[in-house]
Amino acid sequence: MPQPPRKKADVSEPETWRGRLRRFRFSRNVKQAALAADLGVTQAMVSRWESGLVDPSPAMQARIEKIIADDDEATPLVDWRSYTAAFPGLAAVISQTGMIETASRGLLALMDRTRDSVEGQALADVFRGDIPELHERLNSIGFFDESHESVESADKYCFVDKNGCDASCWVHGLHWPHRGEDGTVRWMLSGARIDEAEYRELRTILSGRIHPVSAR
Amino acid sequence: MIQMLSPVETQAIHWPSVIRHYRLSKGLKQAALAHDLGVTQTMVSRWESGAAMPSHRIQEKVVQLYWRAQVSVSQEAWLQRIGQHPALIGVIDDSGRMRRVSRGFQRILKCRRHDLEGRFVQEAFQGGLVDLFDTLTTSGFFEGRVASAESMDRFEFHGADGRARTLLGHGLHRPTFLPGPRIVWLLSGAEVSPSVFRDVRSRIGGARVIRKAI
Repeated sequence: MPQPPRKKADVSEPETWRGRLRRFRFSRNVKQAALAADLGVTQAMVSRWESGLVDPSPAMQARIEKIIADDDEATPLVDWRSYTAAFPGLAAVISQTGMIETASRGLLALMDRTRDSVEGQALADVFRGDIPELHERLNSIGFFDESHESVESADKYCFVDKNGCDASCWVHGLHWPHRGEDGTVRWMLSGARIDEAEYRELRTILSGRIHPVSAR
Repeated sequence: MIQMLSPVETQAIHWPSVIRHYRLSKGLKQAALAHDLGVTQTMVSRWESGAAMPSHRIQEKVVQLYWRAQVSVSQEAWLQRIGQHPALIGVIDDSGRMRRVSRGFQRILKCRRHDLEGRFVQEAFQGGLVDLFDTLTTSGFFEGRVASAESMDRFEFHGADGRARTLLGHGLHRPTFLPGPRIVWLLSGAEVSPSVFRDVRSRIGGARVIRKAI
């Protein structure tokens, strides 16, 4: 992710809280209400600080410092990949060769694994059973050539957690090809946990394990 | 299909934020964006400072660029995919009306599509989700001033049949453009256990964190 240029504050002159808050808000297009929400105070309080009538309490000063510092890191547009990484549900970006490029927060929580131990790994090294098999199926139906708009599936996820224990669960999946900026098509995997009864029902409805919807 | 907007509401988008945010998130200099849009660098500078308002044609081009940076399919295909999605996903407009909800959303709330779609968040829910909508609105989310938000809330759903259902929901929120152009709220989430609820709340330092656009 490209970093925008940082503005170095002039350290020689101490700035009032009034000035700091206003400069921060105006340079970042932040509304008083938004800053108030982040700090857990009323908008009227932010307004009073900015009028110079009162200064924030020491505890609040620390929180404001943190918000300003965090914001210097910039908040980029949430692109498809960082969206997938932060996704609370089950999601992953997988390459045609079957490498897990990005795993969602929800998927890592489900597997009880760290990001580093999953991303960059081959699917077959992390999962057994339905998921590596689904990868083969997708390859064979031309999924990575964008032959299909989306593919629905019911899968049993089998994996080893960080303690080396075998674990499994049932997942209702939806998969689609995504052509990234580099022109390469990737597999966007997404899903949600279901119980075994729903899994069986879905498999019957999908008449098999996957249900591809052809691209128009 | 999502309805077109009246021109009055279109002006609610804060173009200086949207243009600057798009440009910086792609790591572009003003001159490079100006080249992409076929205008001078001075013009981009004037839009970003708020000294000038981009024309409707430029607004549409910016929206297209923004869209392409997030999604690679048409808006219809995107909305259809959200409807099919097994996880908790919703598309909510600036009035709080739920335009599209996923199958996962319906599954978690044990309800049907029409129990959610077309209804307002403020009327279908109580508690955290309503507070979240209010916070996003006052933070300028629907004006394009917010890059993303994360939340951990108790959703209290009131079904049309009078049934109530509560869940602990971990949410990720980002703005998305629909025709008009207008900004809608893409809500995605997952139901979590009480222990995850506590962990996330302590990580984000409260019920929600709003990440402002650059």
